[in-house]
Amino acid sequence: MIEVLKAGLNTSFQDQGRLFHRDKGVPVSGAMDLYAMKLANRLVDNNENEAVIECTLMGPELFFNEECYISITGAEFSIKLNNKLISSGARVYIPPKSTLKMGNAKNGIYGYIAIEGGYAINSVLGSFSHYPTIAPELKLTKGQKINYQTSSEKLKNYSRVAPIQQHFSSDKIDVLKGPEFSKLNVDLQKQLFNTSYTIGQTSNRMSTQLEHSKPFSASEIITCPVQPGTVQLTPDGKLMCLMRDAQTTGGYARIFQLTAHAIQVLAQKRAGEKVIFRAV
Amino acid sequence: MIKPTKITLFGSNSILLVWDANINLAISKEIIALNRLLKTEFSKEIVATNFAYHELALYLNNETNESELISSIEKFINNLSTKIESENSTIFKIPVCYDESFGWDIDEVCKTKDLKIEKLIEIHTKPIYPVHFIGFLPGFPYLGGLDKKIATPRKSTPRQKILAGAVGIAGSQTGIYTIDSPGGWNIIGRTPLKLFDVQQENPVLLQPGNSIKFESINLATYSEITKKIEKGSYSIKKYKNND
Repeated sequence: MIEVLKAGLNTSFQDQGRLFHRDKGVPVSGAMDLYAMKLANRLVDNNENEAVIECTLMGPELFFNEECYISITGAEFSIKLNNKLISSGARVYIPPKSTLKMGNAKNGIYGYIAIEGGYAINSVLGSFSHYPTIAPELKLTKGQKINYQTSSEKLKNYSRVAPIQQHFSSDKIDVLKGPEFSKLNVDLQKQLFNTSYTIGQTSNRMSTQLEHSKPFSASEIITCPVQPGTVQLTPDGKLMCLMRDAQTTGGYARIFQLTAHAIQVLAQKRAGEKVIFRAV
Repeated sequence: MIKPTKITLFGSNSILLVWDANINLAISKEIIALNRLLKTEFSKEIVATNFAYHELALYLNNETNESELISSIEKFINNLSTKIESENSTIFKIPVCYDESFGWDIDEVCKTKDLKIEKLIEIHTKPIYPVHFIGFLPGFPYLGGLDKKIATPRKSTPRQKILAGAVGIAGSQTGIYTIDSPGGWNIIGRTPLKLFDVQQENPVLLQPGNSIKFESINLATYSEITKKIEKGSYSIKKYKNND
């Protein structure tokens, strides 16, 4: 059993998301950095899409009553296990009655904690991902108790180290053209690729703001389907990339669609960092 | 049938079928039917779909070759019989209390449109509104058929929180907030019904292809219905329409 001593900034369970309910207006949700999530699971021999704990900038403090194996991936947090610094990206043995303090992220935003055998939690609409009005109970709160299976195989004696996560250092966001791209005038199309964007302060799991000082603009459209990775341009020049918790339809021009890889690159960019679009 | 004007890639791993950009019930009916047919025919390739007024998005599994699927879908559509069968639509009666305590903007809308409250309610409750699709919020129905006489632009400053059940008008649309949410709609009343309930086996009350009719109720009836819903003893009134 895990007891949540401190919840951290925005800590929740996430998996690959609610894939089958978009037509009911239910956002997909799921881990912001799916690559890091799957890596965390592989490091502890879990099914890739097993639910993990997603930590945001300031991570939680967790007390583990029984022994287990966990792994931590994603952004680099200053992690302490029983007050000793440990590194992420490997399978870690947690002795009984341990305290894990995630600390703060030194780079990137989202960190992931997978536990061997998975967390004993209930799904909502087929997924273990938190979303405020649909599955509020999947957000971690102080005092919460989370069950897991005690590891019975203590001596899996192999070392497991994750490959270096390249996507933190890249400033290039790979995009395909969106449905409304061809309606933009040619000059604007070129400018979109020749601009450096600054990640906005209000970016969150629903959308990432891409700030710029160019006179971009695109007309509104009749409400259309959108998905995570859809980049919208508004009439007054706001540019934003919809992320995992975004709504399923929208009325702004869809000018780009990020590749799956690009979504996790963008997800880990902090406010103030700069990115550019790259056509694929 | 009204075939899509084009079928394109929608990023990697999804496909978009596009019709002429229009809010048109005939196109919505085509999309609703084609959505069902495609999900059945291409069940291996299509993980999920969603659609809006004139577009249908197909989300595919990772192994699917998008270009090949586009060809297969084009062939499938070309081979379909020319008439899409439209099912008997179910009409749901949605009780709404238009009292000022719920209709936060009802006075303002009446002033803008130079109508008495009773007249506004009469105009709002008269039509049968078809559900074109579900989007924006979980279970949120996009309704057609709002009488132009009460069309009102969105509020210039949206509210931080609109409560679930709020019935509103935004431009030429009317709709019902299914969960608490920020929003810029003009709120004219509230329904005690839960249009989205995760606890239910089918969490969404309204489906595309259904229609609704608003029914004006007073505060006492609103409380009554709320209590019945909590007990699980309220049955929503509905009837079939031979269209």
